Amino acid sequence: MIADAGGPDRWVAIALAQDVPMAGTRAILLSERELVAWRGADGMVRVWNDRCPHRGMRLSFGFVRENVLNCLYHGWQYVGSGVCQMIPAHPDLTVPPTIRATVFAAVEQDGLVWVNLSRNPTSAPPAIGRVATPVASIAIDRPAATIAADLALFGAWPVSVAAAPGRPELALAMHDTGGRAMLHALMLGDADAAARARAARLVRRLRAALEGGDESVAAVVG
Amino acid sequence: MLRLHDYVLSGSCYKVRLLLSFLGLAHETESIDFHPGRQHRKAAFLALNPLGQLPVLDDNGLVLRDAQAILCHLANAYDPAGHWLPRDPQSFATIMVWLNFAGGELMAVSAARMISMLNYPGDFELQVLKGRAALRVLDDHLTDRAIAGKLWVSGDRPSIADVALFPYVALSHDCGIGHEDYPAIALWQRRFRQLEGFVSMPGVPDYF
Amino acid sequence: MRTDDLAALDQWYTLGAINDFPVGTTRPAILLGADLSVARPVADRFAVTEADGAPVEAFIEYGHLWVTLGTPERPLFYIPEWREPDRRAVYCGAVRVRASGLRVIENFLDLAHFPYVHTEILGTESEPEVAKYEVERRADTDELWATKCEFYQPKAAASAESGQISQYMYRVVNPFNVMLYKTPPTAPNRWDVVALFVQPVAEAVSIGHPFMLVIDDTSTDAGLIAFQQMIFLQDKIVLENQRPRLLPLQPGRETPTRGDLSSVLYRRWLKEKNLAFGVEERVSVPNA
Repeated sequence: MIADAGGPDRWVAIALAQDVPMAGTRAILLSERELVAWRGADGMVRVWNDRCPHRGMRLSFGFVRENVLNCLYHGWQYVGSGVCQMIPAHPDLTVPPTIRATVFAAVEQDGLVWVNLSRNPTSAPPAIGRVATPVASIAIDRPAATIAADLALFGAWPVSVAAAPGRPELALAMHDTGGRAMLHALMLGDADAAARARAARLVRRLRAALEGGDESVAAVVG
Repeated sequence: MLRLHDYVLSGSCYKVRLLLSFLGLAHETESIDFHPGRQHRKAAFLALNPLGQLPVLDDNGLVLRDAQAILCHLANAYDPAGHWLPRDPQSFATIMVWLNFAGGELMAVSAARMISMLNYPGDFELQVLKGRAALRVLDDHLTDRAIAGKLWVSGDRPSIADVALFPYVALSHDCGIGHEDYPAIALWQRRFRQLEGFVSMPGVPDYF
Repeated sequence: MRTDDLAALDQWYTLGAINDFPVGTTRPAILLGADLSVARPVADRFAVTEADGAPVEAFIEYGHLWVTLGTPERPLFYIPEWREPDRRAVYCGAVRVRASGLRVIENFLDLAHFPYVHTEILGTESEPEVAKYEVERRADTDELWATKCEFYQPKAAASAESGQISQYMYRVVNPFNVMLYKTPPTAPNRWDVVALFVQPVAEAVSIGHPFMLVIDDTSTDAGLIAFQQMIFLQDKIVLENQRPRLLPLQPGRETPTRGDLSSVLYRRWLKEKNLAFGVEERVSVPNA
């Protein structure tokens, strides 16, 4: 099996934790790479290449039973470590341990799912350091680099947007989806539903500003 | 007897098949040779529906076209508890807004799908853009609903609005629109597939 | 852009059933990247030309329009069942799939997906095992055959009213054309023929033309077509989500098992023909 060379030793937030369902999958595009984030019944989040080694079917279309991810095409069963434990077409076959999904280091922290594509990740994801309440994850129709520039951000995510009158303090993370980006927004501190609803509206105003609407980015979060 | 003029690959027919199943309504199905036969454009079918479109529902002589109208009728006539189409003004109005959206803006996904799959004439890129714009509007709404602790488009239970929206959300993959950009939609459609009485269709994987 | 892959050009392809081209019309078609024009001025005459006006060799057989952009080694494959008077010929309608035609053919040969992709129709989860079958390459016709295939099917065909163990044979007549023979529910001592003629449009875009020659006295045409389209559309969501999109022929890129004998033979056959269209280019940088 040709192994994946992996990626840089860097943690990227690719989803709000709440958006990866229990006993379910979520397809995520990170730059040009298709990933699948999934949880077993144990609730642990895993992030793999979105590809079954059998015939290349995207595992994000698969289904989760207990702590096993099953490929939709032929039902091949993958346990949390990435190893294939069972091939339904040959129920008596002991599956060679070389048949495995490509697994990446994944951490759930501060309400976000972080992934590191390096074969030997050395660091840990940056911490927000405070209680954070998830608001929304939205797609922005602009390249990630442009968004980073517009938000005057270089270096590590998540970045914080300071509170202002009528505006909550937010933490924002972002990942590149190959020509576009997903913005992941959380509120700092505890927040009730009304506050989260206001924050969601603010994030949508930010989306409009980033996409060239009549409000400027500075007007929204400056 | 309820008789549904149906095409297996039609997302619009699927809206009706879903509600018939949720309501547990016995019915007959007449398969129309939509493709390649274009039976829906021939004289016999046009006599039933001059718009030449599917689905058509014949309810003991009451012949109805338009998936959204059919959903309203089925909920009105066969759901005495009023779960699928509540009559309180706020719920009713909200459902009507989203029902019309499902038969309106979201149908760009249907157009893109027909162009891509069956070589219908049309501007594929434009329909995809419009479809994505519609999905964004729905995702924003479902995000707000989730923040309010609500699982469905309106109220505390699924309604005919959810039924009308589901097919072209689920079939967006058929024209290359995935759900990576729509996390609230991804969670909602998963929830919808777990409803008792849910039936699948080709292009909507049976497993989740 | 028209391909220059000779292995692909020197084959016969269908552009569709003859009814896809109404009399008195001229319709565009794309084959192997080449823009074609199909004119049908009268019922029994077709004129196919390339974009520069050059004529394309074309003829009618099995109710379909067949063309080539090159020089095939052999005439069109033979389907003896076409002449049997009690068979129904069913044209199931062209469907475009955003996948390599080679992936489409390979999926057609596959049994192990029946319980998962065609659940409670062509297979069921409680009976997933693929028993050993036989494969061979017939040198005289250069066709691949898989025989003695068997699978339990809750609903094997439109006319099936109960489950059955279906017997299958598969026949790949050229890289983009395949058919299977299976047990008709109402005539267990004969074979139904289900063919899939693939029109490769671009390397990762194909049009499937499903076609059947069946023993069935009871189903309507619409019912037979609906059944076949249902099966094909269930496969489409898989085909469009296989990665890489182009078929990998390099060892180690994918992992066949004992049940994949047909696909292993098919890929080896494609490699020997040096087919490039629809095939993944050799990968030097490892990438899953």
